[in-house]
Amino acid sequence: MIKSFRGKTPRIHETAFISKQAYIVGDVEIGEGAGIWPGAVIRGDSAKIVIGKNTQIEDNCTVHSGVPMTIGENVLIGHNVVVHCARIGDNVLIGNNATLLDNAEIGSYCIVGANALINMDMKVPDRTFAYGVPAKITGEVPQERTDIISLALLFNTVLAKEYKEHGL
Amino acid sequence: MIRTFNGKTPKIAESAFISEVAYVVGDVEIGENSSVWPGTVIRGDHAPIVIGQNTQIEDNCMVHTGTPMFIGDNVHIGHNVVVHCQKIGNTVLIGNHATISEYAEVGDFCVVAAGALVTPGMKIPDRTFVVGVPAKVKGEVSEDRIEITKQSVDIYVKMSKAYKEQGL
Repeated sequence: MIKSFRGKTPRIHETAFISKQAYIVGDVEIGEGAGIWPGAVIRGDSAKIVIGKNTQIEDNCTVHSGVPMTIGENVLIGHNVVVHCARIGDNVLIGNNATLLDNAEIGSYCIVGANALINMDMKVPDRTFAYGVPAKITGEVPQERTDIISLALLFNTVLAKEYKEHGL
Repeated sequence: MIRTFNGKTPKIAESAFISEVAYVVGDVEIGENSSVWPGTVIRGDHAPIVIGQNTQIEDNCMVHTGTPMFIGDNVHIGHNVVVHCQKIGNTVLIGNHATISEYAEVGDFCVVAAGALVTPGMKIPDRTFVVGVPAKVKGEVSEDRIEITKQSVDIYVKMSKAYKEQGL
């Protein structure tokens, strides 16, 4: 469901897949080939939210922010994640059930572990892993992991196209 | 969506905002100026759930219990929170993605941190800040912090009016 709020209507690329059970409201931009899965809520009412090309936001995620938020390209966000941060770079994996709090910034080629809590204002540098509650930087992301993320993302973008074709 | 179950219909104050994509069912009372945001489920099927005035339950929360539940006035509950407890007092902040388990009781003016797991039967005294998995008492909530809870509540009461006016 795509709704206007205070005169702002979500701008969604024609190739993006938005599930019938997702809810997108207000000042939101979604790029080419992106996928927004069932139960996800993207609420651009307090500040603008920009989501890049091919990025997948899986089921029951909540995306909302008090400051402008940019999520890059080729980002895979797992199920039930709370995205409340300022920035996520490109080619990033956010594990299931993670929480990204206010003003946090995640670099490119990062991995945030499942269930991790990224604290307020935390900066996660490019190519690093962040795990735990609260999350700590635990190392560098090797190229093999980045390749696996690219494959997982490809799988999801293809699946999103199928869902779109089926009118789901 | 507001639904009757076993002859019990939610009683919702006229000034409250229930998102068109929230689901409220059964023996549930919601007070003046309170709001229930997209994707949230409030399921009063096993036991009654009473929610006070000016309280917000943000997106994709799950509110359900096996024993009667009371949530007070001026409570701000973040995104994707699981509320399964007996009581939350007045002027409380529950952070994003927290879990409040069975029989737990949260006092007045408390702050439960994002991602915290309040374990079954835990009693949190008034003005207490709890953090972690499982949640531990971290200290007393300062007057400044209580002011932030009050501000969040005010912002949300105003924003919920705008959503309601726009028929969302």
